[in-house]
Amino acid sequence: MSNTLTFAAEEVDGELSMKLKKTTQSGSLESSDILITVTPAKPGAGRKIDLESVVLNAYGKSIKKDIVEILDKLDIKDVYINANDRGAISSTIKARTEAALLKSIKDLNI
Amino acid sequence: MKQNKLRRTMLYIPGNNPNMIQNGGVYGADGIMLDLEDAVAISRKKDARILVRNMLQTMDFYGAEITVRINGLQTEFALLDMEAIVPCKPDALRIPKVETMGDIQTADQIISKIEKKHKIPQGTVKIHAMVETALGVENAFQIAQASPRVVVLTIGGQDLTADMGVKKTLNGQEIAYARQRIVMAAKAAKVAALDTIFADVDDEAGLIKETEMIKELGFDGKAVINPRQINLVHTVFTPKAAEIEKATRIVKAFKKAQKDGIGVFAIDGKMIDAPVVARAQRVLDLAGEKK
Repeated sequence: MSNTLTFAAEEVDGELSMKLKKTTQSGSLESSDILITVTPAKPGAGRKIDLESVVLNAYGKSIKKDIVEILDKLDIKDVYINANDRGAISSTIKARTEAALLKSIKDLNI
Repeated sequence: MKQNKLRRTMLYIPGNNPNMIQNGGVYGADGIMLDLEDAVAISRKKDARILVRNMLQTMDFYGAEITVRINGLQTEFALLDMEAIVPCKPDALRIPKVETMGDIQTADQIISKIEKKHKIPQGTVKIHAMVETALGVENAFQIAQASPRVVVLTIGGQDLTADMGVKKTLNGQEIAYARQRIVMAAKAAKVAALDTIFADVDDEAGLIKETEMIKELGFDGKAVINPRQINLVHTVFTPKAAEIEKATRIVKAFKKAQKDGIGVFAIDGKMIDAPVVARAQRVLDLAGEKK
């Protein structure tokens, strides 16, 4: 299996507006998960990431890097993200970030 | 070949639970089924789909057969599930509520299209066809042989009893016919037959009794919902020492007979022919012996 993050066809096909429309969440506060809350920000506001984690000292930078990787892939420039981590691995952090963003972008939950 | 691998246990893991997914491979189940269907709330379908996709790309499941149960083909989620999951090349998709051979053909066509798009060899992702309605039971053989992708035919007891309008009981009399029909259809189509879950995780004696019963019927294994159930099921499916010893003698004698050009021979005064040898080989496979 590939280690690269690929996006499902639903997310790359067609014209997908990258504008965030509403505050959305993905994940949970259960062990090994992370709760990502995405809030749209005004154009030019930039990216603000508030991170709370049970492993902040050891993995804080790495968690933020995972979040930024998904913001880059979806070309999100202005956003406020609140991340409450309970020891999630990289795959989970990226999945929760992507799901929260896509729910905000597409305004669809399917 | 996948058809010949051990499938004594298939552990259900909710697709939106990262903790359970990342630990899924350590319990020793023969197969793991990441569930996007009933274990995931409607409002969390997208979250689970993306999580399972990422986990398939990065996690090590220690050699377990990896399947993903997608949402039913009649739902708005099914195509999105397939588009996200097939490129990750799980061993198989479990298609729920299959009722006709047309359902399998539809799934086959969609998988083929996605495999082609992602330059994955055709036929890589297999199908576990899940029968859980009266109509599905009646069409079991057609379903099992509807596509070469189908490697497992399985029964969903909870939904089936709901469809039949009866209560699921401990002795399972109400699904006895369906179980036998599924096994026979699977055998006829040369695919594996997997039994439904045993819902009461605290009733170990009940699980063992049911597993012994479905093993006698001809099932290759059983879906489990808790890691505690894995060893109990494996123990039932694992041949006892005396069975292994006898099977070893039969296979050894068969190899010698083949060398000597003898087709039928006797051990302990009993005739040994091809079907007996095949059964003995199966015992050794289940015991983990090399062929």
